Amino acid sequence: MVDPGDYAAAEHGHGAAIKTSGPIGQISPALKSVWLEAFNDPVAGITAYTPCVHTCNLFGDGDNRLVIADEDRKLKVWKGTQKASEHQLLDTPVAICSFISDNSQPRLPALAVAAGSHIYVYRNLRPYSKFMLPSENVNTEEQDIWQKVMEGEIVIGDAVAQLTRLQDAGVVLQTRSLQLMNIGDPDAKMAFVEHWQGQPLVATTVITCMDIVKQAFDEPDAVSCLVVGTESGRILVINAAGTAVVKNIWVGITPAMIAVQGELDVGYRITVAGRDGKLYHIRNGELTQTIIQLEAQPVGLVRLQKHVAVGCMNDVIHAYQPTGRKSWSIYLPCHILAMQRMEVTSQRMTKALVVALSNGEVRVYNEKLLVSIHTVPNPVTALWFGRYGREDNTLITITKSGMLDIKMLPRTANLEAGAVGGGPPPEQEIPLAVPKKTRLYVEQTQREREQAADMHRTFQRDLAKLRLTTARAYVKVLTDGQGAAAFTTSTNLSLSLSVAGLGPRFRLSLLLRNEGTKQMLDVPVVLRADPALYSLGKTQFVIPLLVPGLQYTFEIPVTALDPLQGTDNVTVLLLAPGGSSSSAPLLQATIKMPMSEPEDV
Amino acid sequence: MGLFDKLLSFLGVSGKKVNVLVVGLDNSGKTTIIERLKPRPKQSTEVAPTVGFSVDELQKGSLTFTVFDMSGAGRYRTLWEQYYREADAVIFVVDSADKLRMVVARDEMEHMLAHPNLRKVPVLFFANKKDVPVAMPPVEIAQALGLDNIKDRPWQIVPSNGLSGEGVDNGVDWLAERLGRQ
Repeated sequence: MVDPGDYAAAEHGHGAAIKTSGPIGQISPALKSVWLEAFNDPVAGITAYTPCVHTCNLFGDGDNRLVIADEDRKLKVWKGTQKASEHQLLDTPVAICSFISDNSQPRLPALAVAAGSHIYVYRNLRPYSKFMLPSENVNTEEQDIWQKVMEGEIVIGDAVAQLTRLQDAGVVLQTRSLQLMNIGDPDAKMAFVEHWQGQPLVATTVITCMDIVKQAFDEPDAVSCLVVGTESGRILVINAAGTAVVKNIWVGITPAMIAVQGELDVGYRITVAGRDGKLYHIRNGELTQTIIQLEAQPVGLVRLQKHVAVGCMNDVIHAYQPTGRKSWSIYLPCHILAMQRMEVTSQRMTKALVVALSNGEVRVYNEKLLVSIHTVPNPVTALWFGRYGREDNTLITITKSGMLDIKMLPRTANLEAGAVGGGPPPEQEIPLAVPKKTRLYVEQTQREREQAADMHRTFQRDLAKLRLTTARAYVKVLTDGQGAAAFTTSTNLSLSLSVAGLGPRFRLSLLLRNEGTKQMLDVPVVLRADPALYSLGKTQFVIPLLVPGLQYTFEIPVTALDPLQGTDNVTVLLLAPGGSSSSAPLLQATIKMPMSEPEDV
Repeated sequence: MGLFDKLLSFLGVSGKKVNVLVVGLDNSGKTTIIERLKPRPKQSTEVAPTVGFSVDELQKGSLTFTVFDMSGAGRYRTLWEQYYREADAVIFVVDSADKLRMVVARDEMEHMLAHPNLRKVPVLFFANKKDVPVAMPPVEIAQALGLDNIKDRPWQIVPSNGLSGEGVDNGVDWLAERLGRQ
């Protein structure tokens, strides 16, 4: 049922940004969806999971039908926007596949529905054949016990005791034995044994997953065979006619999901996600040594071009190569409900996958890049991407409320642009301007290689020499009193100068302090300034005593002769007191005079 | 040239040549409709999916139509834009029974009308396959395709049946009238 309102929504749905709030009240970034809304039926009444949804060219008219193996034991066929037909199934379905069994025209696919321990093959939507899984080997002792119990040779209590002993010994008992052991009431036990009277103990196994593998060519209408995973830990490859098992591979652990790649005749690879949280690889019919331990249980397995993407319960999707190396990981904000591969017909490489999350988001990832997000009102149970109707690239979503949602990928969809605006910035695309490797550069590197020791030695020697020269110069500056803050080694004086005043008349204050321990007597002080610019109050005077530790202040008036002439430095020299050998000044300080205000006329 | 044609040309309504582009999704009935426009002896009853495109010349009234029948299959839709520049009119054929792909038709139509090479030429929509029981009426199709938003060019939607030829002449007459006016 479509109303025009849906098409109004379609205007926004394609390419526009919609703001929604994510879980826990946080605002998620603006969502961008690449999809066109084709059809939505909220009351389709479908309960099915991803393995039970399939589209195929059932009638050969190019108009692919949607076949759903519904949980209520019905096979529903949808054409366009309506349900075309409904057929009864004999058992609750586990998986559905379409395969082409022979090369004769017309090449119509047959439907295979896996349910219980049988595979029901339908041709033209009519039951055609039933394939039964081969039974497993039963433990002979167990079989004996049952034989005796049924014939009345041993008492039921005895039988139970023996079975318990067997179980303790480590044997995996059949369901029948386990059920017998669980019943407490002896009468009920009797009834149970009688119920199974005459039927020898067989180990039936059930199918857990199903997929197809192409026989020889990788074409959509090439002959293909079924690949089935059983509860007993086997992978079976059944021939194209659906009559016999071609390959029987023992994996050891119940496969939860399988992904098949390649062709039977050329070389094929089956990746098995087991219920023990490990990924197993089968190559050309043999179990390889590569076992990948996943950090959490797998919930989805998707075959990509060169690797497999496995979604785990800890909200991560890992992509593994068949060698066991991890290609990339995608971290998701919440639980994965369903995953499906997106084989876009216009692009050769299948790198895209679509994943449904528990917060209603359905995301499309192109390798690691998030390309599109859109939301679905109910939790998703099944996802399918493929050809439906006449249009390739259709996404079919089935939700828990039975809603069927069909979306189509437009021809001009861009699967390279990120949805959320993240991803590598465009600046990263600019290549670095690495200079060309010149001949000189090559020669220099060669020289470095050959004369490394010499070069190092020379460099260290020069560095040491430089340090020495620098130290010497510094000492010279300090000792010969020529620099701005020079002092001789034997004295400890600190001098600071400050200028007060604005106008042509200034006052120069000398703050002198004897840092040393010995008092100093008769220290002459000389002032120097450019006589054309400044006139000093006194150019020289003698400090009679400098007691250690005391702060002495001396003030000298300075007059700027012509305020407009500019400023200059005034140098203050503390000379050695009479009697010392050196004529170098003890201390020298320079102060720059500020600009003087013009004289008030 | 006969006397009647001479008279027509004297009146100024000469045999104008117009290029018409026929587009639409695959299996919508484009080739079938064009067959109905041809004179009865020349019509062929069986049509096969067009590959690439095909060119036909039709005479309708005083106008000579050069019809470019484009393929609607996904991989050939990129060819349409090559012919936008020369198009004097566009016929868009829609399968009224294909509700599922209406949104795809809308997407393709929007791309076409937004293309810079296409001038403001009249567009004729054929709501084809009206004989099918589940066919949508033209009003619904107009709503689904968002035809109300087309304000810059004349457009018309006509229900048609490509197999019998019903409605096809009505549509082309409207188109001829529009083109004759220009």
